[in-house]
Amino acid sequence: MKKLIAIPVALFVLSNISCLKREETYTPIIYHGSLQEVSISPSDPLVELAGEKKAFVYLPPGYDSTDTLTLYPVVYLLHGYGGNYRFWQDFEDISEIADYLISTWEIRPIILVMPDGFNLLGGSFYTNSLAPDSTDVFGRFEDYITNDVVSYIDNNFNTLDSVSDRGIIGISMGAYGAMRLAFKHPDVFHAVGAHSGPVAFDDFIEEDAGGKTLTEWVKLGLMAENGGRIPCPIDTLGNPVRPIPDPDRPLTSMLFAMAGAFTPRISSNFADTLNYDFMPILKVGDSYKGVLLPFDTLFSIKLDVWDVWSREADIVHLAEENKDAILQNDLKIYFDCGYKDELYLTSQAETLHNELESLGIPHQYEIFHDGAGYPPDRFPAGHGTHLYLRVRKSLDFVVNEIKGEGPPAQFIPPY
Amino acid sequence: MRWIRGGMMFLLFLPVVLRGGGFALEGVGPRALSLGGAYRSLAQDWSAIYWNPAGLAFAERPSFTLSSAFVSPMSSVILRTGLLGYDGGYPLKFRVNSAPQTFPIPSGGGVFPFNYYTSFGVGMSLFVPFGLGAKWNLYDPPIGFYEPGFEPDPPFPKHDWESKIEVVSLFAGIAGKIGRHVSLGVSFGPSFISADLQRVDLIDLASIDSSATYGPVQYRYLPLIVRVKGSGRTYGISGGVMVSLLQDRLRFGLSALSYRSADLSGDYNLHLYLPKNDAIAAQLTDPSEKFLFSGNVMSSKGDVKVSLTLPVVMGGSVSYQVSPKWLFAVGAEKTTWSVLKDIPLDFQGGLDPMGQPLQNYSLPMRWKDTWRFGGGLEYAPSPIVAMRIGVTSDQTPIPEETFTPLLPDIGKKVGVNIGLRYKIKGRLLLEGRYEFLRADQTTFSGLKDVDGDGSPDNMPGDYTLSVDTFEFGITWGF
Repeated sequence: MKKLIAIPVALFVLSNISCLKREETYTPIIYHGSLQEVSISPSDPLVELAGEKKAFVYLPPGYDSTDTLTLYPVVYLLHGYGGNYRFWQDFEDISEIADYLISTWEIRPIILVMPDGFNLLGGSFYTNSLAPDSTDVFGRFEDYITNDVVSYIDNNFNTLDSVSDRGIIGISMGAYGAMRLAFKHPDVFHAVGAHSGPVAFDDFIEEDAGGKTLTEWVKLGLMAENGGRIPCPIDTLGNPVRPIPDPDRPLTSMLFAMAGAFTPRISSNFADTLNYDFMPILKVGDSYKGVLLPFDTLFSIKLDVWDVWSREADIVHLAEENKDAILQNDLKIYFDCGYKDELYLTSQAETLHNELESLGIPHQYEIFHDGAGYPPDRFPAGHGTHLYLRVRKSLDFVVNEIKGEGPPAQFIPPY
Repeated sequence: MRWIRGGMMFLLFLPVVLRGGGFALEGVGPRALSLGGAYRSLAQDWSAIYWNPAGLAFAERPSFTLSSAFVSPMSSVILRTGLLGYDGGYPLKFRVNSAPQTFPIPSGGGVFPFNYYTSFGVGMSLFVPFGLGAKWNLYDPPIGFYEPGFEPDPPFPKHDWESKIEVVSLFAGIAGKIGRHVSLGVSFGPSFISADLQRVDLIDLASIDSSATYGPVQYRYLPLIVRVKGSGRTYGISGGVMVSLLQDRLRFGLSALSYRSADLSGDYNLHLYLPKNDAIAAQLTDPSEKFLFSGNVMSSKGDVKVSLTLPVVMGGSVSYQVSPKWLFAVGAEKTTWSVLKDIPLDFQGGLDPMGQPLQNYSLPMRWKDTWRFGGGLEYAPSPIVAMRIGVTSDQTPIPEETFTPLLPDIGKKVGVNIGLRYKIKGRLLLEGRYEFLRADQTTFSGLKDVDGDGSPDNMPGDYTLSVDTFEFGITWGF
């Protein structure tokens, strides 16, 4: 009788043993870094016209502020137009993405810095807003990032402070900024990643029988937003009329912001607003701070203004102008754009790619399509829709190109 | 006129066995399965009700059997969907194993040949519920879906994909010989079915708020936990013929088993999990849009009716007693799973978590007919002991287009059975078997939408399946 009971019991136990030992899932262990909010005062007080300048700083898992022997490379993340230093964390959960990539050994432990490029016009394009006589109009944001922010980070955190340990990534206006700063300062940044950037300004204009004019989609967008003529943002007393930035007129606001970066002016002649020769933004004493728009009321291009945009601001031109420095410093370049960018920037990425090829500047470039499981008709690869996924590529690229002496990628400090 | 042998009231508890979580009729009886299921020509014990009722006419003495199998399926998957929360973006799982489970499957019955008793035989019934299925922890909300430290209420279930199917069958059979060599038999009875299924569907946020079309991709797919439970009853009938030649050394058997369609009724529960992002919510002005980023869980429940079409199982086998010690058998079986094209779900006018009427839905299955082949050898060196070995080769009815981990019956499966019989004191028989079943690792690639409703109907990935089964039975002869 005992045998009759023992045999089935033994069989039952045996059948369960292999199940008991089995783990259900193989999961990565995610170590968590920390996010600090810091104030970084600019040398130029006009940078803080729109408010105090803060930044988020992501410190990787295991970061110990007292351990000054363990130093980390740094990647700067630039936000887009209308955003601020909080963008990358609030909308793209960048600290969690970084935790994941570091914990799974995909990238080495790094410090991420998210500075503030917001200004009075909604976005600085990370440019020194200077009138032709070098008067500072809306703030020297290029200097703020490359000097003030970089110095602050290197002085207050355990960073590897050589150019080979510094990268920069941006989205939209931030992509423009990343490219601009990297091309003009390849002695500051060793690797750049850019998503959906306006990087070939000539694609904003087209030629017809009447000469150069804004492209159709820009014209239609401006007309739809303004009902015809673009109103002056303020009146002669400086009171807001249709102020910039305006959430209901994003295209208009962005063009003003670009003009504020590339062709700002200080003038006292309000009459110049008639043909967009001067559009005031802010009354300062008896004068006005404002911008020159590169087109007139019929959207015809004003060649003298456009020449400044094209010659001094356009990324394609900056690549040509800084080619020797870029090659000498071996700047690493990655950029992409969604194939259904709502701002029609796909062609600009292609233009920049062709230009870099012709200049012999090595780079990686991608027109981003849909991902598996995301049908393109319902999930268009637009301006920022897939940034959560795309930033993995740019972080992979930039971090792996930073060949510093920091902790090796496989090292995850134990808690 | 020769005596009509056989014919008995025979009540058999007949489980429908899920092989490794797959929904496939396997069979019953340690001897039958030890011989690779090639038993339609040999069945003359209690399991003849399932294999071939005609075999009841060849039973030599009354007997009663209790048997139980312990099935331990192991499935695993490396998903290849690209969908956030599964393996897209920043996957939080690499290889996923189905939750360890062992399923006890009891069965039993009695056989009473007419020529032993002058009165009609009476059988005994046994109702023992059991369950088979699969449990998976496949999905987690992607990183960034919730703010750090936030937990939804109710929390996201650990086992988000679950299937549990229980079937209890109660058959009676009768058979009679025509002449000395041929018998015909029939069995019939009710089957009681209960099913409890849960899975994660991903709802496009843009289907709720069209302005989300150009929104961040990590918030576009909202996980919806769908749980459907139902039970019902159906009836089955089986008929067969058995031929015995060469003094019972060569035997042939053919049989077919058919079930009436089953109507199950039960209830559904739906939980839609919304993301939590205060920064995005602050940017939105419409209160209903703000709510979509509140981290809340929206729920609904109601009644559901399910209609299930069951296949016909038909097959045959040949056996040959090579010598008093050696027996050889081979067989084949076809199951007409192609009748399972869709499973209509009638939500009885219930509501979804957004308060909208639920559309009745046909779950696409598009299953295929399957063939199973098997064979075995039995070596009985003495009347007390016998050893058996059998092999089966089985297909899956589930096509790539509708394959999901709910029923992880993948590819071609090969099983090897070894069995043992031991007779105690002349009337007590112990039988046992062990089955080792494996399927080749199978890769399903690409999300498929076979019904064009915008939602994928399959789950691509690299799947493995193995099943270990121990079974034993005890028979009392009278």
